[in-house]
Amino acid sequence: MREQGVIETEELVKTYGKFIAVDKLNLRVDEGEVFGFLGPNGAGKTTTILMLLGLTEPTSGKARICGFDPTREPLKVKRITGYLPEKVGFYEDLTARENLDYTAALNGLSREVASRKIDELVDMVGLSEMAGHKVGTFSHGMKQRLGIADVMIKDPKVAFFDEPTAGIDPEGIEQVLTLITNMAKQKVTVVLSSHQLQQVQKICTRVGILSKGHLVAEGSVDQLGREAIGGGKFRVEVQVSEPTSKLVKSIKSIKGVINVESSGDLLLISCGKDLRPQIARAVVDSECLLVQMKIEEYGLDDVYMKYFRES
Amino acid sequence: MSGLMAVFWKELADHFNSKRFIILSLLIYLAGIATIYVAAQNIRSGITETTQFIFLRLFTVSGEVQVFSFLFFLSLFIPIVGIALGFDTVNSERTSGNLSRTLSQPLYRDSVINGKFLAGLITLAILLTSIVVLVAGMGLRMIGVPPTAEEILRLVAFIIVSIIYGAFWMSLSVLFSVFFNRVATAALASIALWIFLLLFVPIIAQVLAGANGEIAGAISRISPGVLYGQVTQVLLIPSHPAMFMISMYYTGLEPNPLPLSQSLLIAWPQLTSLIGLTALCFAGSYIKFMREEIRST
Amino acid sequence: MSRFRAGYYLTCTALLLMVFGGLVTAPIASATSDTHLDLPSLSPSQKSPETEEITLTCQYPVLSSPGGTSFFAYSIELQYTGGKEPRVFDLQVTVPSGFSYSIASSYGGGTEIAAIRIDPQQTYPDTIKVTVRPSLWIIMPEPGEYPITVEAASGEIKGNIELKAIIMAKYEIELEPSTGRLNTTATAGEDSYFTVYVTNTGSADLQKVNFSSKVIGAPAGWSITFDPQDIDVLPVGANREVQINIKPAQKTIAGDYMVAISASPESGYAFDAIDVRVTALTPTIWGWVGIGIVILVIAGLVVMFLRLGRR
Repeated sequence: MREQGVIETEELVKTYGKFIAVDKLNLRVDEGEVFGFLGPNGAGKTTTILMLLGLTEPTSGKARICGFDPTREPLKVKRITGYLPEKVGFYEDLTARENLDYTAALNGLSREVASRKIDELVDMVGLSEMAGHKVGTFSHGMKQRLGIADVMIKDPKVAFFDEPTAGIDPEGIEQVLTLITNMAKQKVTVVLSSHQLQQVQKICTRVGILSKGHLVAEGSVDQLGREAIGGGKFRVEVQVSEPTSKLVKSIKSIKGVINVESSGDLLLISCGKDLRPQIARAVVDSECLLVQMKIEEYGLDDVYMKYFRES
Repeated sequence: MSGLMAVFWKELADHFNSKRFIILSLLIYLAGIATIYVAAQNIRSGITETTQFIFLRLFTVSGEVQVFSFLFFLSLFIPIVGIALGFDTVNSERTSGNLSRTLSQPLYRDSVINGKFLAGLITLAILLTSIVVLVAGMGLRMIGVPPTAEEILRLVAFIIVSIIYGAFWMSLSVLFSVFFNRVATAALASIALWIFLLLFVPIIAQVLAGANGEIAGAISRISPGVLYGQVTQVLLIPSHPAMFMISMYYTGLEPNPLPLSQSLLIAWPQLTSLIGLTALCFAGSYIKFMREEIRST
Repeated sequence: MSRFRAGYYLTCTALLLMVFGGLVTAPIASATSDTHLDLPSLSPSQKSPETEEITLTCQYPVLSSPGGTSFFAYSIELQYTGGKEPRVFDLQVTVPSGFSYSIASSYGGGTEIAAIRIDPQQTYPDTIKVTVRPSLWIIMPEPGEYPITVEAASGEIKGNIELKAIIMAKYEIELEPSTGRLNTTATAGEDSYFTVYVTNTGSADLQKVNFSSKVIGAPAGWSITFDPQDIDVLPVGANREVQINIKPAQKTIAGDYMVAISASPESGYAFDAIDVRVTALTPTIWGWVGIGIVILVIAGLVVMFLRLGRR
């Protein structure tokens, strides 16, 4: 038996009437990980997070956060978890500082501690100038950053972010992701859900892809990509005049090439690293004419699309 | 417990900073001062050698024309204040997205609704106590007759009953705020129910009961406003013991002031009904709120 | 208004009625006595013409007036018998000093006459009217009986009649505030003095003058005392100072009250009442307590708002 994971679920099921939102989910997240929970809308990401937080009761199965059962000991779980909901809400009539004050009070922080911490946090999320302004005047990105401060105020062991990048501008996304990465560096286990992969794939150490309540894939982005595309990380597309079987063979023999497919005058080569020079030479050697060559790096997107097409 | 207190203080501060509440309370203070001024002008007209409870008359005497007594004003305003304090308790939290954020903090879920209800209750208590005491102080200044110990007790009882009455309307609107997701729906439903109980229940009672006054009285007691009116009448106008009961049991009773304990005894069924209704509404909202699942939107 | 005022009017009305009753019944009485008198007066004129004489008769020879403020009017019938020709009689009235008189014909309007021509063949019912009045109106004449003689003379033929005017004692009392103004102020539960003069404006000494008071609207607990409590003897024309101590009830509502003060002697009927407007002030302590309460409440609310107020 391994060391206890920060988050563990065992056959976690949640149904709403006949609708199965989460189906037999087995999940494990270790300390310091940034776990990306991916999936289209309605895949059960938020439901899973709510169950992990103890806000929703699972229909069956077990969940553990640092060894605590969210259903039985919700307060213990909530004390160590931070949650930023998808539609983050703050009291619009209150200032950023007052909102954070309230959260601090709910966590039983003393005034002095809260005040010091709020100063630190608003500084960290870049809102120190706006701390005295009413949240009603904030942009979505600012609210999201305030939300991160709100999560951080109780020094959580685990932080859940539900669609943290939805609806904010690229600059804001950058800031939010940086902040989340920094959290992970402070040994906070982060779980974030998203349906926008490019945005989160950079910071996730591991992702789980959820589709219709099933965890269809789990692992690091590289690993998933390999699994999906048969191992290769890059795909080189070569257009030649009259491809020959000899050419295919010679390309296949290049070290690092995993697979070659040919269709008409197109050769699709998947490989572990950028092998364009070697491929180019092979084409030239085979006396074919190279029309064009382009390389694509496999991203989570492709993985993602693959799984969703499958499901 | 700290969670409850945190919610309580935050909600209390919210009430005291909301324009809605400030405007409403200013209105009530002005109305209260106006009525007490009129009452002080008119208070002597009905006083005879045997008049007792002069000080209490301040609250029940009205002007000769078109000016209402303090009691009348208060019985009109309390439901409005109660509704104003409660109608967006839960639904606004839900729609603004604060609810799931708040509930992910380490506090019991009922702390949220209890804290909010408690804050509303304390706000009501502060408002009603301050208006009655303020008005009593002004009255004392104007008529110069200090209240007797019994009058003070009666006023305290009156304040408590008024708070309970306000709490009823507040718990009703909290109930609506739990059931209706839209703030406007909850507010309108509360006000509609208020108007229905205030205006239509007596009419319906009349129609249903025909000429039978006792049955009409019984039916009209569905309305908490009627209950409140009867309790306050017994408390503040001790010289006319329970006018509403005379037809039933007290025919031939001499109009003689009753001691406070007797007054309370007469008003006891009404009072417990009010408390019961309040508890019922609160229990309804409590159960619904506790059972409600936080769902992904 | 006041019961006393009403009583006063009632008494006056009753007196008036009595006077009217007298007026109405008087002619009836005279009519009956006329029939009696006619018979003997007719028969001598026809029988014995020998002695000439003048007789004066008066149906109401004794008149009285309370206080002597009204005049005494006597209707006198002159009858001349025994003569053949009409004669002129001089008329003379003797009145006590201080009285004046006038003689007028009962029929001839108000013209004063000094002599009258009487035909023996005729009778003149109520021939002349002698009006006697105390001449000095300001000082009332002493109560008592005043004889009046009316004489008719023509040569040796003389006749007279003795009349009597009775001046009864008139009891009158007057209350007057020392300041001339019918208002004062008094503090609830505290002594406050108001001085009045009691004057005997009647024509007889007043015995045992008592005072009484009533607060109109009858609030309980007022104490109104008089110093002296009563006056044993109040001679004619004399006045006394009476101090009234008005002490409003402890629980008096501030404002104006009407207090009726009345005085009347035990001897004879006399009565006077004044309504004093008493501005009841409440002890300033309650005013201050009231202000204190108001200030406390406002201060409490301010503290509440400061404590809970944001920025």
